[in-house]
Amino acid sequence: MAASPLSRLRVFVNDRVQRWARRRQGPDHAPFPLERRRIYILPTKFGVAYAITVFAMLLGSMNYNNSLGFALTFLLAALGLVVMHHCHRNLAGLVIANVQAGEAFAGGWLKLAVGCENPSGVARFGLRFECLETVADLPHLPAASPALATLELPAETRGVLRIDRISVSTGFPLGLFRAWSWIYLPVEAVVYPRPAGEQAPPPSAESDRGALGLTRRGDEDFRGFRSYHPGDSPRRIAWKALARGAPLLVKDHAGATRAPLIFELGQVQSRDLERGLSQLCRWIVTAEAQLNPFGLRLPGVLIAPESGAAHRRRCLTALALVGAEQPRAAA
Amino acid sequence: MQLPERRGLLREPLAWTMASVTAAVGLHVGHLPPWVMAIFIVLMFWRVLVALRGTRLPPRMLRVLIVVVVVGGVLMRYRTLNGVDAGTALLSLMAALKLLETRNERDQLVLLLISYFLVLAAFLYGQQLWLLPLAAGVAWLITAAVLRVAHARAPLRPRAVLALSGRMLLQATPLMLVLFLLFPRVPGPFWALPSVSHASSGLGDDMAPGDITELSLSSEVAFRVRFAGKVPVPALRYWRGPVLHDFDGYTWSHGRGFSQMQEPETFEPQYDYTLMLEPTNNYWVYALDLPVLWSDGRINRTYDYQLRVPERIDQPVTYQLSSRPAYRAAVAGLKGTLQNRDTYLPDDRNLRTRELAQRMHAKAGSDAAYINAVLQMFREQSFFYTLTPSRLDFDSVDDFLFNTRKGFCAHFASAFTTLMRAAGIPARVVTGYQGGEYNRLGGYYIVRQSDAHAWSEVWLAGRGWVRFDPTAAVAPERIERGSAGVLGADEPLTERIIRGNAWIADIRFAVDTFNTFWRENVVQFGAATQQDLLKWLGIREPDWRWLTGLLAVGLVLALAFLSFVLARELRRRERDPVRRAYARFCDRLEQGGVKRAPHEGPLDFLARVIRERPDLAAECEPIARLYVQLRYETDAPQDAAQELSRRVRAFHPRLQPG
Repeated sequence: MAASPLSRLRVFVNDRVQRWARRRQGPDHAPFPLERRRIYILPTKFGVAYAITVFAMLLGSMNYNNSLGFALTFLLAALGLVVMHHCHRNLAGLVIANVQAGEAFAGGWLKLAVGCENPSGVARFGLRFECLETVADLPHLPAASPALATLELPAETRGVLRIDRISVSTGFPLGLFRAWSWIYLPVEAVVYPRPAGEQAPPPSAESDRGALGLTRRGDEDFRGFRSYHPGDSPRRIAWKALARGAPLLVKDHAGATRAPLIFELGQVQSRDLERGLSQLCRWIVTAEAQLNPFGLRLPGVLIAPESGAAHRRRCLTALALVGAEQPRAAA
Repeated sequence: MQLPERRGLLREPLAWTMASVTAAVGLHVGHLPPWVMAIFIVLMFWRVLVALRGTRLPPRMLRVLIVVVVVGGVLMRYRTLNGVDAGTALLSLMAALKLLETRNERDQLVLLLISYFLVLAAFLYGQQLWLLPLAAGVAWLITAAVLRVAHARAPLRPRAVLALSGRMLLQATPLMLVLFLLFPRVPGPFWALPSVSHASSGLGDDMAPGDITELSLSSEVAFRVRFAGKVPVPALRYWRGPVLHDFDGYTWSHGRGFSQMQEPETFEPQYDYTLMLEPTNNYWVYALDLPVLWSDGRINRTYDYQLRVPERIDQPVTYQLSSRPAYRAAVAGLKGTLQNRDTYLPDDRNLRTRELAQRMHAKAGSDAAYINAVLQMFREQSFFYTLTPSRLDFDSVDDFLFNTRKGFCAHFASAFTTLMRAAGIPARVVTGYQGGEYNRLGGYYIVRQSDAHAWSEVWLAGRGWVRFDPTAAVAPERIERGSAGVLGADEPLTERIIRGNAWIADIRFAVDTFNTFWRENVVQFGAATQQDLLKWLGIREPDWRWLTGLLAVGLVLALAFLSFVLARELRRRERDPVRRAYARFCDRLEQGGVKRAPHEGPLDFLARVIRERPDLAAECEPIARLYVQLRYETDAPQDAAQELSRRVRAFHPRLQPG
């Protein structure tokens, strides 16, 4: 698709403006308020149409020398100026508290939560957050209250998605102007490989206990309690003991130690790296869902068998970063 | 694209748009033809039904058909699509049609811009004071609709939408006033558009018997006059209008003739006055007989001493005029053409009158004696002054003089002038107004349509044109007391009630005064008024540079004020006096170099303040204790809150030296 010269010019101008704004503002450190000097404002298409209407009304009033016509024309012109101030104020002082990325698999959606706060005495309306052509609207932000706007970005490929800039804009109150500000809070979101592949997980070397082992075997292999470590599955916590007043203990199963399952690329039949990573990803997701401990071996990486959300994250991140020397930059 | 409208979805913004368009078109109820209103109402109802039932919008073919019909109708009615009348009708209908196919936000915004334009168009039809609140209300509604349509998802109740848009309009008002007062006004039209059609009111270009009778029942204002200094007595208050030369036996008309102007010889006293003329849609300006000076360069005095302007008066106008009732005009004699025109009578008409005139003239012996004889005839024979005369025959003067003998000023002036011409004396009918009612609240005279009058002018050798008012011979009270003096039972009931009650009359005077003020200061505000304003501000040589300079200064000031107001709103106001006092205390300490950390309680903070600024301990300690007492203890003394605010007010820590 060949871009028209006009749209290319637009991209060029946009790029220049953004670089200029970036130089002008410098990086941000959350939380920070949107100060007046970093809020930009321009008329919208409707604003231009409004201006043309007012100008036509001015010509009409002049031609017929009509005083009330002048009064109405000037009232609308003044209203435009007032609206400009209101629009600007609708952003001014808004506090950007943080930007947090959720987790995402390639081909899915990355949730990017922008936390903001309205510390002022007036409510704000019609806020819009934009990032990578994705939009999240915040129609109402009451006075003196916080809010969370969630952007759902398409996570296309595995790896690091670097988000440099988020824009927050508003057309409130009449849509004649659009005021906006750029937020430079760099966020590096890790996009895991897409979980895919039909291959069954490799069996454990020492026993036939695979992915399905623990829940079926029940308490036969129950070995005793050990103290809780962050990352242990809540399902294994000894809730009854806790209720009796014991410290936080975790049930330790003999089977888990006897069958340390370590996933590696060599177990996947496919030679294709991405396919392999997808398969590993699926095994990890399934194993974690079934509370099976697992480890991961990748070129240059060895993660000992464990279970729990933190472990899963560590493994999936390792998968995401395979071969990624430098994180790909995304504007 | 024929999607059924999704029910209930975003219907509220659409309701706002429809209300706005309807209100804007509603301002034109008086001047849109009934069929346009009818089509508009039908289309609106259709749209409401579609919105309520969630049915399909009308198909495209049908819409195109309606457009063709509507445009055709407007073309048939106005012969043009240009101009205010046709434009207004077309805009109204197109707005309703656009609504029929409106689904999205953009269409609605376009409609709202059109609605603003329709409000402006309403002012082209009239700029009366009562229109102001109406139009302001409609503009408010439209603005609220724009807000609602542009932010359909914002959880705003209708009241909040109205409140917010109203507040913005109020904030725009000072800016609007600056622009209104100082934006350089360029006088005159730039392009010729067909002007707004008004039925012409007041006197016409010709006069048939009975014409003025209709006017006599109208209490509409023809013009207002404010005298500077001397005021002429009622008997001199003849306001000169169209002079009628040509007579066909029934109707008098101005005719197309022209003659050379003879400068009249005028005498003191001179009356200077301001004439505030209501739009007549005609070319003449009424002036006290005889106008000698006029302010406006476009005014021209014709050979028969009538003031005319080159363009129809379709707006209220104000002129500065001077008149001298004592004058001698055309003493040197009449030019041949005028002599012929003003003695001409159709040969085959009003034969009995001609015969009577010749008989009476021969008997009287001189022109002067003849005139007296005619006036005496009107006075002494059974002629009656009435507003409801019977219809006159084709030979109207014969019928009036020998038959009905009941008539109004037009009948008497017509008969008198005919009698003069029949005797070979040059004579003509002058129409205009006679009298005027004094508005004691406003200090000016109101001349109403009911004061319309017709009289005669007769040319006498050595004296020139002399005014004779045959009506005065029959009904002298008409001249002394105005038309009300002679109307009696013919006077409209409302007028009689107003005349009967002084306080109702006063209310009417007050309303009229207010309207006049409005007209003089707002409606007629223009380049000249701006010059006066600058002079009043002490600028000796006002020109557009001063205007633009002042405009810039005014706009900057108004915008600075606006920013200040908006920024003040943005700051959160602490309502609780105790918290407010403590917050102020912390602010002042921050200026003094000790900043309270968000996690620091009042006592911890106090401890740190005492460590860092021991010099402030004596002042800070009671404040912190009072605050703790008020916030966390139940037994705070009654005046503790006042005590706290008092101490905080008195607390002024300075930065530590060094």
